[in-house]
Amino acid sequence: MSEDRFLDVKGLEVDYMTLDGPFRAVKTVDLHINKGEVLGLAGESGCGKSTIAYALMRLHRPPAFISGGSITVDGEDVLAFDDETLNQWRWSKVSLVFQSAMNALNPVLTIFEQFRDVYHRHTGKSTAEARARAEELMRLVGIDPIRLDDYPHQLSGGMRQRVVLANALILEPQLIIMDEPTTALDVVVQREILQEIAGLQQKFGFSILFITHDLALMAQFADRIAIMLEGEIVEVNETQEIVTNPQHDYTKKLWDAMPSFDDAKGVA
Amino acid sequence: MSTPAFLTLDQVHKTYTLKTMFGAAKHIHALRDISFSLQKGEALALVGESGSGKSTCGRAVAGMFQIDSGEIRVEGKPIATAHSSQEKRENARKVQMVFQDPFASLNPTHTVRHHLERPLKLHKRVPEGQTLEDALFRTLADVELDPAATLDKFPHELSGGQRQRINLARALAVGAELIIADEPTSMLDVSIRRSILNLMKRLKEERGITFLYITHDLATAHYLTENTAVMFGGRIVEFGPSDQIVRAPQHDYSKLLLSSVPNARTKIDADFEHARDFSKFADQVRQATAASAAPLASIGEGRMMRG
Repeated sequence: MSEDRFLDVKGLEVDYMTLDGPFRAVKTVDLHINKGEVLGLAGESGCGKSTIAYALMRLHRPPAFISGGSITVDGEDVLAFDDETLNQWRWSKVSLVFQSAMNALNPVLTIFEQFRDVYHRHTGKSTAEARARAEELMRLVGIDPIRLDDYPHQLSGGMRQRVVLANALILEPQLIIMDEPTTALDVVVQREILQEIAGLQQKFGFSILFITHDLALMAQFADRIAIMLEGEIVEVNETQEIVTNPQHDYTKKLWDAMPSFDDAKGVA
Repeated sequence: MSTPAFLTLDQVHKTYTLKTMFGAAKHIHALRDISFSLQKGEALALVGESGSGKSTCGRAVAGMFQIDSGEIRVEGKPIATAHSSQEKRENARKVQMVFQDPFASLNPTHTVRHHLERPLKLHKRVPEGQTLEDALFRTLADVELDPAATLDKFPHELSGGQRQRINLARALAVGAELIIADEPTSMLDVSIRRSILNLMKRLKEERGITFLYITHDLATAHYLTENTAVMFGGRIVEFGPSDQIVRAPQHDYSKLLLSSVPNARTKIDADFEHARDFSKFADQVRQATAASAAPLASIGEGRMMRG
């Protein structure tokens, strides 16, 4: 199996420097994602799941430091990259859909300018070529390319989310890290975006690290799920097993914490 | 109905006018023909997407703006005719709001003590023979927080769930009888949502507090409330007992909402060719729902639907 591993993280440790000494946010985490696989990472706020997302792309900033472990992506040691290699590698190999992605667009640039920015910097290609690529991507996520000349505030929340997705796809990355991609959206729009992500994943076959605190949402879509508690991964298993046969007490607690339609009324 | 309802809305309308720099003014129908009543100690959920008018409806009940036509009555008395400051204060006491964002709804420069002391003093809610300190302790204990450990903390020292408890405590401190809870759990972690819902449920069952619960999540609405009103485009499109709405929704828009709730046991169809089918279907339902001006008609015991 190990040759299929696109992302392989071993013993990852991330510390935040505080006045009281280092605080270990990620404690000796092992995880891997195979080619074309969707791994869900679930846990409550503050458990370290976003810290992992940032560390994987080396986007973490002081006071956060990676103090141990290794990150291997497609056979390359990410922690050994120099700045220039890192800049080229980011977005072309691995891209990121940020939490509250609706606000991840620059409000003073048109949608096209945000595409061109990334495309030009990484490929050096002309504006006309960037335009063609941007139009192709907009059609891919189901938005009329004419909206490329709009500013972010002129688009609805769902459309902005689609634009952010399209932007993450621009260099055809093999892994997309999605940090709470649907959290700020309505249920119906959330479902629309999830369908979109699932469809794109099926079409292009990239891997996804899907981070959310909504287990039910994740279970609809992920191949495997990892449960995180206070910086540690306490359970990893196939989605089916996590849903029907959770082993760790915390996983059971997470399921219990969500009211579902099966709940008998009047039980407190 | 033998006892008069605690809260009644009777054909409430509200239209916002947007004046653009060029061209004609745009009219946004935020509330159209909203009528329902709510018995004391019961909970009603207003469910819908952003822009459906559910929050506007809650804010209208709280008296935060004037409605264009129709009437809102609390215990049979129209809130719009309250003129004396005493009447207004009494209405404000009875009807309290808890907002969505627990991080923005508390003043970051003041302690919990300050947030609870002011309403207690303003509404003279310290019973005779008790000190202010007693009243503060009692209020915090009501929302299952440790009074001694919490009173002198600042909002940033509390978790989201604890902050939402403070917001509920603030409403209870003045003796709220109706609490309008506007998405009180949507910004909280899934892992603590249920505990806040349970607290509201307990307040409803043990204290007889009436809840108007505003949400886009049908699962939590079903968990807390007796009745649910599904809203779209400023109108109520379906009304009925919450468990019936969840089990057998009748209106297409209610069905759409229900089918969008994540269900861990069904995988979504990941085929790219089908990826946009759901979006197209959702748009069709939205357009059809927006276009229909059919009146709410009874479709069985306690159930109504817009045809």
